[in-house]
Amino acid sequence: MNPDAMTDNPVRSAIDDCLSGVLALPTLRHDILTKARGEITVKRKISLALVLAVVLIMAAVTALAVVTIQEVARHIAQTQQEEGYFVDWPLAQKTKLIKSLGDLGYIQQTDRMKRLMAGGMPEAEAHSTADQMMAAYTGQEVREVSFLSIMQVPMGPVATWTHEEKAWYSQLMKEVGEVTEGRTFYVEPSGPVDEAEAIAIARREVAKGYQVPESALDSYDMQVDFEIPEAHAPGDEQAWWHVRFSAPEGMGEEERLFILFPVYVHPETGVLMRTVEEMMAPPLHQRPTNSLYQAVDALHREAEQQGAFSFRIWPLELKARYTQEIRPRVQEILKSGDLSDLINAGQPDMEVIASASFLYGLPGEGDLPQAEAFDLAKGALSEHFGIDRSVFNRYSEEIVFFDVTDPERPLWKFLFNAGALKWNTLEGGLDNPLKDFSYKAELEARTGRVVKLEEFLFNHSGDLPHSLKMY
Amino acid sequence: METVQGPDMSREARLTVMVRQYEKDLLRMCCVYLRDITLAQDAVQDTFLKAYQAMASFRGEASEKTWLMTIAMNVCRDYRRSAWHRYVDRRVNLDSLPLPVSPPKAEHIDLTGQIMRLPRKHMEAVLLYYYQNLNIREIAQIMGVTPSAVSNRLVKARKLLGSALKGGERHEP
Repeated sequence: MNPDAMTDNPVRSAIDDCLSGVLALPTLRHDILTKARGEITVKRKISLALVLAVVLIMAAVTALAVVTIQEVARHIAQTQQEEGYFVDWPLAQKTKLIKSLGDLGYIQQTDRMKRLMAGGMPEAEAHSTADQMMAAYTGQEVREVSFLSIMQVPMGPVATWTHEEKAWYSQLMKEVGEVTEGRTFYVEPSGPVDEAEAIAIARREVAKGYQVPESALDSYDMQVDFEIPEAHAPGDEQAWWHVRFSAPEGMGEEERLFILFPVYVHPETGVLMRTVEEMMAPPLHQRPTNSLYQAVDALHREAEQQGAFSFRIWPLELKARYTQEIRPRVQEILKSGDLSDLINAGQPDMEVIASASFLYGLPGEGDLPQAEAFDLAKGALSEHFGIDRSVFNRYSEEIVFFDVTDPERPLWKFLFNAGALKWNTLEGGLDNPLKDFSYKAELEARTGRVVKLEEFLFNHSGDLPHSLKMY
Repeated sequence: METVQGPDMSREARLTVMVRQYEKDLLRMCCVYLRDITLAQDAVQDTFLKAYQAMASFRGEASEKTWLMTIAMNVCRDYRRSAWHRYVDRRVNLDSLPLPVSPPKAEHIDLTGQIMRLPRKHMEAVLLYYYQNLNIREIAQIMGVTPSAVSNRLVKARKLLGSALKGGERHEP
């Protein structure tokens, strides 16, 4: 218990005030003990019957509501396809949606809402009112209010949707004209291999690949979908069971087998799209097999065990080891002028060269902690390039280097890679130009002084000058 | 104030003490989490049942309250994911909970509703910190994350709850 107990606790006051009618259960202790002894209490029996009755009633009521919610969903999907996220909708569409949600009881019919519906407000105020109402409804910033954030309020998080609900969602998106290429397309399950069997196959194969008992996967979170995968070839409509295991939050690096392991199981044959062994091995085809690459790939395998599939997101410790074990060999090859040991797929391997261009180490006493430096970096980039600071929180990767090329002046380097930007959370989505740019900040590790801020176009040319910007 | 548990106290006696000490706050917290009184009652019953069954293996690695809240949070998360929860009306509506003893203040209704609408992880941090009065380290243990993750969630939650959450700050050692 915290000795500094609060005297002014608005949360406590609010909840106790609103729930003053929620009181202790007089038979709780008795019910627990009888349950613990394996007896079924009378209360439980009655509750079960009552539960079933309520479920039937709720299903009937819910079915009605779902039909109406589906109509609302179609309106949102169509408008989003035409106009973008909610914040950019014309006022008429915003009020139509809010009225629908109000009629369904999802938004409280306040005086403010009635004024909005009555149409007497100045346009700017009406937009602001509508935006605030939807932000409150979804619990998100208004710029992030979209189809999914709106629909997850009545339907729950996407991860909890049934296969049928996800299939409905995909079909709806297709009907309103959203491009399906490059996107996961959910469909209703079919085929002799059902969900339970797909899970059993996935568990067996992953456990075999990692040489652990299947029970080792019990502590991992699991999500199962029936889908045409995101990376499907145009015209390929084969759906697969997509079983993915993920390490729960808080599971330490030393105890987890992986952060995320996805498996695709064919619904007719039960065969995996890619075997576990293939997925665990680094892509060695066309890669050289000389001793340098053997050493590079060994480090990559170690990184992949920790869920880091690209050098840039390796932990600092592995980057430091790369500097110690690989960099000297690469530098020697470069100095000799004979690059044959660095040729990969017919060309000098820019990734290997670039990742061996700087010396990476670990921060020590006297160096700013990473979190603090990261914060300074975001602030500096935001101010210098005039970008809302919140944008720098919308990257799916945190790319950080501790550069000790000059040992007297170590640098924290932070890269915000355009390829990792969650552009669908930006205003305008794909149309927002921010999605094409990467940003980099370099700070003196000892002082926090910003020494370099860069903005550069994200491109795939793979030339060395561009590659070096990414390190 | 925590009750000191004597080593010779029987399981049933310990259960009685725990129920007496934590039941009401736990029930109210589960009501906020699950938005349904029946589910909350079931969750509280399941929490104490699991605690009762696990009492023998509890070695005091954490405080009793931290231990109990860990069980409660896991139960509530399971309930939210369950098929039953799919059919429960998840709209934030305090009218579906038992009538208060006296009409609550409007700002209290507003704040409670906003807490119910928080993303799950932020709501858990708020409930454990402000309602159960646990400290950051204890909450980190319950949620299985680092103390700084807990702090970040509380900062975010305060932003989302905005001016409704005035005061209530305390200094953590």
